Amino acid sequence: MLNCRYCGQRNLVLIPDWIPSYFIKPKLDLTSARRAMVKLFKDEEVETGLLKNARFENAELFFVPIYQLVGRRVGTFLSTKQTEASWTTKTQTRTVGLTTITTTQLVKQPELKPDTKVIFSDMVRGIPAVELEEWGVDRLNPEAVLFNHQAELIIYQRESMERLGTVLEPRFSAKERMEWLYKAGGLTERDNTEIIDQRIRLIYYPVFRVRWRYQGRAYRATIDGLSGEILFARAPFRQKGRLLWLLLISSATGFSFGKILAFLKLLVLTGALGLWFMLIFAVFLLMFVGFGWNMVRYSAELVIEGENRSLVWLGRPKATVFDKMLEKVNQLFQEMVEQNKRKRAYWG
Amino acid sequence: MSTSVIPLKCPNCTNPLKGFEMDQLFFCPNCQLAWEFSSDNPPSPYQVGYAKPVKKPNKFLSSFYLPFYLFQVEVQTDERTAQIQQVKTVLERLNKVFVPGYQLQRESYFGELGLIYTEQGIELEEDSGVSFDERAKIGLATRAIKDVIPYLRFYPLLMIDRRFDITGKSFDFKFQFLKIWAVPFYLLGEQIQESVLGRTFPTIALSAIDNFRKSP
Repeated sequence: MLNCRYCGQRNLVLIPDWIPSYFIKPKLDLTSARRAMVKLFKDEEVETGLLKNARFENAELFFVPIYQLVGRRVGTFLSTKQTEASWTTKTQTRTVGLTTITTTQLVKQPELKPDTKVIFSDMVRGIPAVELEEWGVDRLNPEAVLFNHQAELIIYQRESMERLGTVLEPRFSAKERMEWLYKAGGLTERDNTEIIDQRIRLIYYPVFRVRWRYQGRAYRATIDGLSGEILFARAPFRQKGRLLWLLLISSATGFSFGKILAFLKLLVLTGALGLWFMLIFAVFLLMFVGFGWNMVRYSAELVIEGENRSLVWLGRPKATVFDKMLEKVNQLFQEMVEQNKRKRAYWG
Repeated sequence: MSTSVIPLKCPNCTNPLKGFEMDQLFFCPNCQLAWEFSSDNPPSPYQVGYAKPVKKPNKFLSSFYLPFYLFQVEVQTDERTAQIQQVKTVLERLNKVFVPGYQLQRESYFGELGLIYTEQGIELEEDSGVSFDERAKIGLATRAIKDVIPYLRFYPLLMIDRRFDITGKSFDFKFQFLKIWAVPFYLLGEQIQESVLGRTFPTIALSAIDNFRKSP
């Protein structure tokens, strides 16, 4: 809608395939974004020295374009429903040698009947119009934020947005993203439903990108510009665990060798039994030491994506020598189990 | 299809039309008509009736009108299905369908007013004493007539399915547009109350309400 500059007359501008664009003003400022990072540094799982030694480099505001699809899913779909269990007969036939045995059992089984359901529900999806690796923007949900934080959608004004931060332009068209959404299985095509009342709008969502450094290594984090939630962050995992593992493997090795030496005479006297015991014990010890060594050798980084947390081991190959060994032992064990099963089946 | 600029004046009386950004229909408080504009066709007018409030709150901050489409609907099915008591009851009562012209956020959760009006067979009474200024407080018709057509099938289907399993049954629908009803709503602060049944929903569900606040 446009107002005439001279007479004030309101005019309606009809543009085919036009997608309205809006932006949301951030509720956080740069100081609040830094404060959110301090909260991360105080986290129990990250390195203890972070709060003292981490150095902030900068924090920058970005407007990330997100397509918001609002629609209503209506239609019918055919599902099955369980009816009350009824008594039926179940016949089983098996052959033992030259004899065929037929067993008839009376069983109570629930029946499955087709059931048409009328679907009528609201659908809101937010899909980023850009692909940003390790930004965590896939987690952004403008609808929830607008609803819970009562944020206002402001009509897209490039100049006002650029005064606040950097505006990222969409890399994918709405059509491409919708196709992707359908292919990704976001909407089911199995049932007889359709999306009606479909509206697409482009929302520029504010996020802070914070850069900081610890022990010469650079880290980046993304903070929601409205809620202050950490969308994505990497931070060094606490070192305490590594030290504990070092202590554990050295004490386990020392203790085991000490005990073997103490009971060496007894083990020699027991002969083959003693050797078997030694072998099994050595395998377990090796596995423990191998696992512990892997934990000590490679430092880890904590990856935070909203509520989800995972560890990434730095410099660790896909499979270490220990991993390969463990895999072989596992294969051997699996083969033994299979062989045992086959033997049982044969005798049974 | 090309871009076109249409002055928001009533093609009938040249009075400025009422409506907001993203609206599909624009209202003339003078002629009591709603206009739908498109790049390809001439503007089409629809008759608007201002409904008399049945449940008016004692205190409210402001009032405004939201549009509802009213259709006459005829549902047909095979003779055997039509004789089933539950289906018969619904089909006998169902002849008019209301569909909201506005959109709420999380509509299914906050109440599908169109479905409620249809299920209850609401009959609205025209309020002839509404002043010009009051009539001008109308808008948010973000659904055009073509957008509401699917609702005319699914409201009745939903009503029947709630009473009787429709698996394997087929229904035919015939519908005819009757008019647009402007139903009064009252802003109570954090809540909005509609005036026919007195139902309320949070203001945040109608995010576009700011348009009424900003409009003179």
